[in-house]
Amino acid sequence: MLEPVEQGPHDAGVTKLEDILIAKRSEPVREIIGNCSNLNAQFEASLKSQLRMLKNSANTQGNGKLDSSEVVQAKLERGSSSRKLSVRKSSAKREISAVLAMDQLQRDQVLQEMWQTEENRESSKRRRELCFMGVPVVLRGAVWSESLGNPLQLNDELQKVLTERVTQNEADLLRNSHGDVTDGVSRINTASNSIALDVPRTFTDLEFLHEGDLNSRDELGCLLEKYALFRPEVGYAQGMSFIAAMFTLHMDPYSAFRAFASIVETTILRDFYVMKMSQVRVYMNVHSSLLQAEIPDVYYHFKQHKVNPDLYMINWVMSLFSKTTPLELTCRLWDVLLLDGDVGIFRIALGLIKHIAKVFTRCNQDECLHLLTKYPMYENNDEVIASVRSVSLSKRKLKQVVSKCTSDIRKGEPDP
Amino acid sequence: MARIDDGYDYLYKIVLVGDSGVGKSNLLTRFTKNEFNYDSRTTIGVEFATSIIKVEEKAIKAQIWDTAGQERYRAITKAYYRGAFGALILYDISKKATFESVERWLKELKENSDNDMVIMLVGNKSDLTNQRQVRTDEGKAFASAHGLNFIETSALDASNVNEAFTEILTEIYNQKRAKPVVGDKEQAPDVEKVQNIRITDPAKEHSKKKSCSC
Repeated sequence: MLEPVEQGPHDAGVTKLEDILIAKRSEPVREIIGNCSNLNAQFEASLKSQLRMLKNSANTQGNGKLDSSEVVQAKLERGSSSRKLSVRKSSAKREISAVLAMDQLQRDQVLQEMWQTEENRESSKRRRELCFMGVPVVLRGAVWSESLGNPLQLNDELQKVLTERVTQNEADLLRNSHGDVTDGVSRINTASNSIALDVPRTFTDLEFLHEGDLNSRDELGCLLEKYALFRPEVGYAQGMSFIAAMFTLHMDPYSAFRAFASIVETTILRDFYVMKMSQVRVYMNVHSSLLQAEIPDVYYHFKQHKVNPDLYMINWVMSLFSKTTPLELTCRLWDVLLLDGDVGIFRIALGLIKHIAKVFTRCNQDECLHLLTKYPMYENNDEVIASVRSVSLSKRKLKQVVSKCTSDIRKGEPDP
Repeated sequence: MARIDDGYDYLYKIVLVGDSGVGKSNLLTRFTKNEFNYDSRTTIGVEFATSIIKVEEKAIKAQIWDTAGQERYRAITKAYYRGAFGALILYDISKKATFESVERWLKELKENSDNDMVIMLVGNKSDLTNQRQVRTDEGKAFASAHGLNFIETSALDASNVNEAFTEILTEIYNQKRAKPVVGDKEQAPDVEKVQNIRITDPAKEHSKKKSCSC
């Protein structure tokens, strides 16, 4: 029978799920479940110094704007010109495994040098390879910007206007906080209120994001406000702050905004943010159907235990995994995701599940959802990335599945 | 060897609703983990936690669904009201606007759920006495006018949190006992009486697939 854990007057009669999970599981599962949180201190430190560097160079350039290609260039010049380290076709495989075997510090250095050789950066195939190996922290912002490009053709002039309007709105709000507001303004204010509420609730364990001296928190708020002005029909949706924060941590404010607007516009994110339910349903079914084909054991296990895709996929998509996976892994996933857009999103979702498929099939509903909400932290993320890579999903295949799921829903067929 | 047993007799689904920032997630983690995070993360979509309590020697497993408060999420979250036996509507006693939204939440719940859902109005953040904007009797009056249970809680100092969940679970238990639900599994998948399902033995669990109602 049930024997509740007695933990003082407050806890009387309440049994903690995590205690049960950890106490009652066999060794490997226990280890994985117990290992679900925490930032990697070393990684956090390197990210912090990167952010500091970014801010410093932004300050010296005056207007808070950095040209990402200049950054790359500057970094290129700092590194030694070591063409010998470039991946040559013949020995590419061998060199990749050599790089993967290195420790993090050495690896970052070698990878930086590899990014700096033109032949690697300009061949899309090599770029891909490098992205899968993990972009070094110092280059990440620039590489991400390049991967996303500028599909909306956003220029700095527009950004300047948006930034000014955000500042203006703030001032107006302060001035007539009790006065009447027109409909337009009040709609923006609703977005502003939510943004103000959510910015402090974004990556709360990442202290330096919220520290005053780096102004990242203000930048994050400003980015989201700018976006709500830029795309009033999308506005602000919860989940955006995590994605915007990832960009803010790696880029100057203008590049971060450009990256954010691009990713929302070019992927399924937009449908999720505006809650276009008919489409959201299609994407849930697409995921299910891919899961069934790729990892049938888990698919049937989830089905049997009522672990429905909307219990994790909505969260995964709307934050692009950043609320679920440890930060270091999130960055690795984004290296790939930003190259591939929607294909990347679905592929990563499957890869993450595939990587711990054996664990899932031994877990009940609670445990599955626990792992799907808080992905375990691994010392070596290469294996997770390898799982993502092992999922074969092409643009064409995704398109086929999407159109099949769309027509199934139209015909009123049951969800897979 | 004394070990915690995951066996339970009843499984009840409860949803937490209310405006963004009223403290739904913290109320939940206070109850299930006895934790409070000053800066808890924004909830996206729905999240979920469970806890087991004892009512009259019966082990009741509460499956609690925490929903995102932002208006546009309702398209998703309202799907979770179906099949729930109880709901807590939260507001923040230090923010009048969150109390004013209660009526909308109530309507939303009634439109999207089964009729006999037990609903409790919860005025959270009762520790913020100096910033109070909603008086206790206002909350109480609204609750009694709409036939809801009422309690004021503080996830921060833990006051009344266990009481709130225990009260609603006990009421559901009494209601279900008085009027047993007959097997319409599609409508109410979580009501089945569950034999002691143990999670110690995965192989065994696997072999009796059918008995798991979760």
